[in-house]
Amino acid sequence: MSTLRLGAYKLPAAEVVLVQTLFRLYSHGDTFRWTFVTAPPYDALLVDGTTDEGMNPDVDRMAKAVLRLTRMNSGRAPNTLERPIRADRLQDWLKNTEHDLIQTRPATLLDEASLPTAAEAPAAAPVQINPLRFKLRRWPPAALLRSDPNLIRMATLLSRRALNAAELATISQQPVQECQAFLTTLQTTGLVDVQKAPVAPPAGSAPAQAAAAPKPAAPAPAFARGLISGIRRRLGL
Amino acid sequence: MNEYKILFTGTMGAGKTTAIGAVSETPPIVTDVVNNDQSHTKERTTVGLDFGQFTLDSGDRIRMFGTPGQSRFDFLWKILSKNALGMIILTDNSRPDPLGDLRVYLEGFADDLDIMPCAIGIGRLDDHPSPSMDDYIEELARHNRVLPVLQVDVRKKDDVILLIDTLLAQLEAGMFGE
Repeated sequence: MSTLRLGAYKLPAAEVVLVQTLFRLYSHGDTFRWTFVTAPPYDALLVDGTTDEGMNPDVDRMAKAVLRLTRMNSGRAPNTLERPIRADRLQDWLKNTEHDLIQTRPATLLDEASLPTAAEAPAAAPVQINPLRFKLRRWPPAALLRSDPNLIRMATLLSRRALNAAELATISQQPVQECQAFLTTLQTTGLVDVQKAPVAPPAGSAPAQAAAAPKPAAPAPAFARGLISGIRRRLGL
Repeated sequence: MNEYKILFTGTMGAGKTTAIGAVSETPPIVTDVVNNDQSHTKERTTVGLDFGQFTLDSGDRIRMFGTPGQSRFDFLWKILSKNALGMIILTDNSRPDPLGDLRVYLEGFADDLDIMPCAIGIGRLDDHPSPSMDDYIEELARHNRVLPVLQVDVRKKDDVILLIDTLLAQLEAGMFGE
């Protein structure tokens, strides 16, 4: 059986989390063929139909099928879904779209054996480390942070300074893949601004590497680092 | 031995004294008196400051100060905030206008907030869901602030520690690369 890929484009973070949660629920059956992904290519895309960006025709070129979220009580038009997102209606649309896509032999259909299940996909998918630095433009909603102290710490760091995944991993002491996944989620949900890093140099070019590499975490005043680690130790963090 | 300071501020009844007590190694010193502010039903309130502390392995001490809640004591806020490592603003969602309360502190500490790490702890959100966390985040955005906003129960030590951890993370971010 093949797997289809649904992405989200500039949706509010809470709705992204909701859709991810619904996918985990849907995947408990054997017949669900969709996986939620955070990077292209997409077979289908979920966008905010109440914004100019969401209604831009360019969005329709990003995937074979586009589902636009609309305001409550705005009427049910094809390829739209009224807010709040209803699990049954989203599932119906996915089933119909799946049927249409399979009829037209989608190019992005992948063999099931090559992809994890929908529930596993976000964690298991290979993560490309993005050199771009991101800074939080708005504190993420609670649904995205899930009261997870590591996510809260990462968000806090990004609220104060533009960081890329490698830098975020260095400071937060979290795996770089988790940092990248978190940054991707924040980017998908429009919660971060991008600050471009220097272009990566050719391999072996030492001066260029020095120029392009993320700025290392040079030792800050020892007393400050010692103080922070001392407080953390004292508080059991 | 060095001494450092963390400030707890917020409205009357938001739980500053309780929060300090949750992490202080000694019972907090409180300067409560009988409340004669008829806008609030709390029997006793802080008119000076609260104080608690904990000691690090190095012997350094972290002193935690709670400001008096009422804005008529804002002259004390300025004094207390000097050289603080960071500040925690506690709000009480059961009050009539919690976002207005937050505005008082965002404006009262505006100069400090340009530099000083700060986190917002929202109390009594379970029983009083409005305004929502998103409403607080939106209010901060109106003030061009991106600060951690966490739902807290200040009686829980872990919740208070998490707020302090966000202050530490902000300090770390500020030091990164220096």
